[in-house]
Amino acid sequence: MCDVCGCGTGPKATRLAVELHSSLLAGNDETASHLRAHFEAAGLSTVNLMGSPGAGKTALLEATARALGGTRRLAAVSGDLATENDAQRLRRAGIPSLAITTGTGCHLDAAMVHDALHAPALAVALEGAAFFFVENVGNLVCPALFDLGQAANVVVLSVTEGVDKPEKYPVMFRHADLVVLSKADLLPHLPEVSVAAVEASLAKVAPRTRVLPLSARTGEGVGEFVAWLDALHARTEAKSAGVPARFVSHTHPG
Amino acid sequence: MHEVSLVESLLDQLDGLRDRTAGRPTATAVCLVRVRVGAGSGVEPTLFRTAYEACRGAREYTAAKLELVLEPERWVCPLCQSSVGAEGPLDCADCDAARVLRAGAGIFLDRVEMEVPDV
Ligand SMILES: Nc1nc2c(ncn2[C@@H]2O[C@H](COP(=O)(O)OP(=O)(O)OP(=O)(O)O)[C@@H](O)[C@H]2O)c(=O)[nH]1
Ligand SMILES: [Mg+2]
Ligand SMILES: [Zn+2]
Ligand SMILES: [Zn+2]
Ligand SMILES: [Zn+2]
Repeated sequence: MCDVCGCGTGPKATRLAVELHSSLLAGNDETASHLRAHFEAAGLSTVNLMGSPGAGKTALLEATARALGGTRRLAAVSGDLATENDAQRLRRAGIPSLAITTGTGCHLDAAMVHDALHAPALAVALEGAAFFFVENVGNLVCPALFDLGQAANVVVLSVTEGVDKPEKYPVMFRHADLVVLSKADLLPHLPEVSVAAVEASLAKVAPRTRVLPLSARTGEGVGEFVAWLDALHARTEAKSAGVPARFVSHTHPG
Repeated sequence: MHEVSLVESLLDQLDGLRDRTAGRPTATAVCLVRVRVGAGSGVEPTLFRTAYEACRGAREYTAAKLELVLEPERWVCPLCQSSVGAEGPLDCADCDAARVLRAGAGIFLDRVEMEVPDV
């Protein structure tokens, strides 16, 4: 019937209703599953590193590379709105890295990570690597929504951001497998901030998640972070037992 | 703004629906889109609507009204399935198990209505 005046004349049309209940993240989740299969077959432990701009994500990776001193093979991608600075810093620290420049995009999605994996330089670095770090775009909101096929999420929260951040950004902190409380060397200057206060805020949204105080500057907590990574990697290896630990390269039609 | 990516994904799903119905309904024939937004999804409904209004013109879905349905969070104990409140202690006291989010964590395209001209 005529929609303009309701007169009942005009071209006849049938109303068609379709019930779908399909997730708007289904496309991303499908690519993420493909990535996860890549990672598991390769025995590669992939860590999605999230946190506010300037929380100390790149510094954490630099300190980790220093502590490891070449004993584990690492690779990384870093998501950045505009520059390649972080990838350059990571390469200087000895971690083969590729920048993913997102333009106005405020998070990484699975397709961006997948494209990066198929870049020849990174594909070579991933052969035989134990850890693949994905440094997400600095943002406490949306990176948590987009699965990247990772084995674990690490949220970096610096001591200067305020102790109530877990309650203010519950979706992000609920997704965390570990919260690194960074810049712990600054704690003496911040009487109102304590590890216990951050733990109390986190307990309201994710009571089982551990807070690890760490300073990339003094090295405090870096050893414990490495131990956490090694435990994660032991689980990855148990999963891919029997499969030769090498990155499975493959091509896609089209 | 991730709301834009989610709207693009919504419009892609609408395109796919058109293809599945053998090209019969046109983009302009889609008159209603119902999206369910979970309170724990990380998606801000007003920002989602703003992004939708900004993006749908370029994709020719000018006639498609957006209906947003808000879904509250529902937490349950994974062992005994009993409801655990969003406030207060987060774990099931009986089973000592961490609660899981059973509903309200996602964003879904629930329903599409189209006006298809009779031929
Ligand atoms: N005092 C102190 N400063 C730190 C520490 N870690 C990082 N910083 C400083 O914090 C600033 C930001 O560090 P980055 O590592 O670039 O932080 P980021 O999270 O990678 O930043 P984006 O990628 O730009 O979001 C730099 O000036 C670092 O020197 C730390 O442990 N202690
Ligand atoms: Mg950085
Ligand atoms: Zn692939
Ligand atoms: Zn985003
Ligand atoms: Zn229970």
